[in-house]
Formats: sequence, structure tokens, C-alpha cells
Amino acid sequence: MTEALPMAGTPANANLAGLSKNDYRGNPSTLCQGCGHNSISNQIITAMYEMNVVPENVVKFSGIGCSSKSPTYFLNRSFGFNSLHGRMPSIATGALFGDYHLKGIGVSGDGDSASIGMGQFKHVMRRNVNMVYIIENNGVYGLTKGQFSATAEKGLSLKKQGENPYMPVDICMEALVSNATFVARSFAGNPKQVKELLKAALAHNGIAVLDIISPCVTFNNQENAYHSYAWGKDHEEPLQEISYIAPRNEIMLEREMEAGEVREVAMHDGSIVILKNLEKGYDTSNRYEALRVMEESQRNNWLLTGLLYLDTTKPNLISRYDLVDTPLNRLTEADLRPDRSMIDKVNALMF
Amino acid sequence: MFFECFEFGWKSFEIAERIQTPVFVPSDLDMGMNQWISKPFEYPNVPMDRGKVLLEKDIEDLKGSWGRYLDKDGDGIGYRTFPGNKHPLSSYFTRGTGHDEYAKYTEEASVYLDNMDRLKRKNETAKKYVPAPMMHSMKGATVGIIAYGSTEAAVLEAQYQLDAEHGLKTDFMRIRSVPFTKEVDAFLAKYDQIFVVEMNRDGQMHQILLTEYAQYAVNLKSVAFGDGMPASAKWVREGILAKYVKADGKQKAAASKKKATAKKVTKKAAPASKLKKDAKKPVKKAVVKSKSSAKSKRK
Repeated sequence: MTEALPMAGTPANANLAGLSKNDYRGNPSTLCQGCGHNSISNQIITAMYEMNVVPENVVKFSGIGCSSKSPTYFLNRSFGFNSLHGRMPSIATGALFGDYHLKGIGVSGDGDSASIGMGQFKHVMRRNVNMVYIIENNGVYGLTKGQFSATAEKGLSLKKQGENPYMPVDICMEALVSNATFVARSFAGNPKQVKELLKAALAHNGIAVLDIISPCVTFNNQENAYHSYAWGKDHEEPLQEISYIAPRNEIMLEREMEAGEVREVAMHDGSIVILKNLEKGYDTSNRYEALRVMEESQRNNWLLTGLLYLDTTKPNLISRYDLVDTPLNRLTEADLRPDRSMIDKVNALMF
Repeated sequence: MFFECFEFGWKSFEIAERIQTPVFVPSDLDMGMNQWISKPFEYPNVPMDRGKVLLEKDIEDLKGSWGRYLDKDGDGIGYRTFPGNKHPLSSYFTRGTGHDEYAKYTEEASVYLDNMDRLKRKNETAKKYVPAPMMHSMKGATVGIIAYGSTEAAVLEAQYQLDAEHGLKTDFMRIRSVPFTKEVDAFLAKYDQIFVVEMNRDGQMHQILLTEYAQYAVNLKSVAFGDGMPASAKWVREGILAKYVKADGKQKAAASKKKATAKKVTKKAAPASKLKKDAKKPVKKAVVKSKSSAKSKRK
């Protein structure tokens, strides 16, 4: 992000970083037409553009799967790493340590994060790595022709797969019990909410988990399926209306106008997330309450969306280390190699 | 062994950054779980090597003519940039699919073939950076022994016994890396009987050598054994004698009992604490030996 004002001669459609929306685009998508993932990629482009993010200050990460292909479809000017299946969190942790001035955005799927990558998923939560962690959740392994994933609901019946006999993994619950500091759920069919949550997630100083129900139009889009467009549209229960307000004075007025009926959360960069509660008194800082509403929505068959939990007080991973200002990946031998006398100390320690 | 493990620790990072590939350093349970005496660790004797890295000014100097997988130097290794490089032409996408020299997605067959050839060149280049083998030569040696890792001490003792008790002089090379360096090429060309001694059931290094050096396949004899105990000079010696063929084409006398001996060792191995003791004592001695020989080699 930059606070630089637009320069003279900047095209009218340029944002505060002096960039047009095209500067945030990626290659054309090779995913199926109508795939929820494409809609999410578009919202990432818009959110980054509207937040004036400089693409060179972002690193994209992914694992394996349809979801993990999508970083090719946004932010062509950013570094990107398509890692091993379920191993995106450790690649991201390493790269973000290499230069902690960078913002990470990871795109994973329910197969990548809730099965093979579950261990890594849990630990990146508890470490509070400074990144946005998106799970494009469709309940199936689309890339390998639609087998049930760990988030598919029990009893889901799919052509060629039969009936799913297992209970699903709830990504948001897993994130919450692993001490994630920003947990939200959204629905690819609700792009406005996806965008606002993305902006809040980008402003968050720590791990921000976005479980986005993203229907698979090829393998799991039956009207009665939890991960379908039709079911999502009928059963979506937003917790709140969410607006992200950038740290700019003129928009602060809008915030004042809404005072009294909204909950405002100040982010570390001075921006504000405004949560207009739909359910009276929902408190995003209450972990117990978040678990309760998730449990309730499961029982009532609701697709509960919105910001479920937010804690802006916990230090992120990097701030627990006393790092120098220079990115670690730029340090030289003079900075890194201990003095020759150190080897004698190490040898002496062994006796 | 320990000081070498330490040395390989920092060297592996150098090699990884130079060759741009993961480096595996296999250690040994025996080292990880037991107390050992080691030669003191040595301070790195070479400057840090971060490999081929381009910063903002380098990309500017190149006027943007840069491709992540372009083999500019002919060694198979492209130049890389770090995330955080602010030059608009610095970034690239590391993808799991086919890509061209500029890291762009492609399904072009000829581009794929070129990339595979580049990786082959890179593997050749790697041989210049990985650790060369340690040689424990003997004057008048007629056969070779190849081993690796912590069997070294047992092999050194067996080498001594084979000479003193059987008149068999051996040349011992301890391999320290795959891909194999030119020293390994030369050693394999030198002897028509080479025993590959290793602590496992299947003779894994023997198999790798057969793949890499098919032309010497008939000369390479597997002496593989693994009973969960540290290597002992006894099984190294007996294993070699069982497969040794004298110059006249006949197997050595001891070899006629080959099968029986091998079985005995296997049976005895688990319960016999004697064998364990037998194995441990010489190890200490041999460590001293290996230290001195390693030292002379290093100089």
C-alpha cells in the first residue's frame, strides 16, 4: 500500500498507487466457465486495486488443485509460487520471513487444506503468519474429476461417487480452535461481501482466513448440495453487512453517519472495518460466541457468512522476532556469518 | 563423522543456492541418539555463496532481458530474483506445469524438451559443487571397496584385516554425494572387482551405481547387510571374501563356506551381544584412523 497522491497526468481510472485495474489482472482463466473460483479471482483484483496495493509488494501462494491454479489469474506483476499439495503454508511462512515487508495472499482449496495440508493449515493459524489465507471450498476434488473432499456434507450423493458417509470438516471451526485471529466465511455468489471481507483481511495484521463456498459447476452444483449456487443463495444467512473503510478522511464521514447502529473495528493500518449487525449483539471478538453461531448454523442448515471472529491485539509471527529492517533475503555474509570465535564457543559447549 | 555432518550442514545451503535445488543430508540414527567423540567443528573456509541472484539494479543493467529459466551461462542454472524485488520485470511465477524460459505457461513440446535438457546440464554442473569422495588407498591394491556414511570405521578395520589375514590389498572410496563426481568415475574404471558395502537389505547404493555405470555392472558386487546394529568389521570382511574372485578365476577358499557364513552372521546378529561388543570396540579405533586419514585428505 502507498499513500502517494495521484500524479499529474495520471489516467482518471488510476488508483492512489497510480495503477489501473489492468495492472492487477492475471492470465485468462482456464477453469470451467461459471466456476466460483473465477468470481473470487475477480474480487481479489478489485480489492487490491481499490486498496491501492502495489503488486510488487505482494506474494501469491498456492498448493495443488483447481483453487491453487487461480493465482495465475490475478496479479501478474506479483511473485507467485505454486507449491506442493497442502504445503503452501510452509512455503508462505518462509517467503514472508525472507522479506517481512511483503503481504502474502494464499489460495488453497478444501482438498489442499482440509486433507493433505491439514497439519500445515493448523500451524500457520497458531503462528499468526501475516497473510490472507483463502480456501475456495467446493466440497469436491474438481481437478481429479469430482471425488468427495473432507468438507463435503454427510449424505451428499454425487453421480459416479455414490453417497458420502463421513462428517465434514468445518474450515472456520478448525481455524478458530487453532487460534486464528481473523476468521470469515463467504459465498462466491455474494461478490460484494467477498470483496469487503478481502479488504478487511488484507488490512489485518496476522493470519486472515476466508472460507469461501465456491460451487463446482462441473461436479458439485446440484440444487440440494451445500456447496452449490442454488443452495447457497437460498440458505445464506449473513451475520452482518460489512464495509471496509480505507484510512482516508473523506470516507471517515460516512463512518460517523452510521455510528450508533454499527460495530467498528480499527485495523492496525488506521483503516476501519464496519460491521452492521444483522443478528443483534453479535460480537466478533468473542471466540466462544463464534463457535456457538457456527454450531447453530450447522444444526439449522444455514450457510452463515460474514466476519465470524477478529482479534487485532495478537502479535503476528514476525513481530515475535527481533528482525532487522533489511529483508532477511538481502542480508550479506557480513551480516549473517558469526564471528570466527563463535566456532570455538560451540566446540567448547560440547564438553 | 560429526564434524563432517556439521560441515555438510552449512555446505548444503551453499549447494542448494548455487544449484537451486533441494539438498538432502542423510544422517545416522547412531549419531543422532548416542554420544560420540568428534573432531572439533571447523569454521567455514569459503565465503558464503548465494548463487545466481539478480537485484533491482542488475535487472536494470540487463534492460529487462531476463528469463528465470534462461541458460545464459550454459551450466543449466538460470538467474533468479527474490520476492520483494521492486523492479516491475523481476517477478515470476513458479508453476508446477510446463513453462518456457521466461516462466510462462506453455504446452509446447520442444520447449519442454529444451527444459529437460537444461536440467540434465544442471545435474552435470552439480558434480562440481558436491563433496568429493574420501579415499583410503592401499599400496598394491587389487580390488576396490565403495561404502558411504557411518560404515567407514568398520570398512577401515576390515581393510586392515583383509590385508593382514588374507593378503588382500584393497582401495577404499567413501562416496559423499550423489550425483557422483569424477573421482567416482575414475575409481570404477580402475578395478575389475569392486565391493559395494552398505547397511541395508537390498544394496541400494549398488543399484544406483548399476544405473549410473552400467558398463561396470559385472565388476560391482553388492555386500549389503543390515541387522539394526552398527556395521562391524566382521561382516564387511566376510561379505567381501564371500564374493571375492581370485585372479585365477576361482573364488577364495573362504568363499566356499560363503552361504553358511552369511547365514550364521544373520542368525547370530540379533541376540549375540558378543557381536555388538565386537562391533563397538573397533569403531572407536577406526574413528581415530578416519580422522587422521580425513585430515590428510583435506590438506
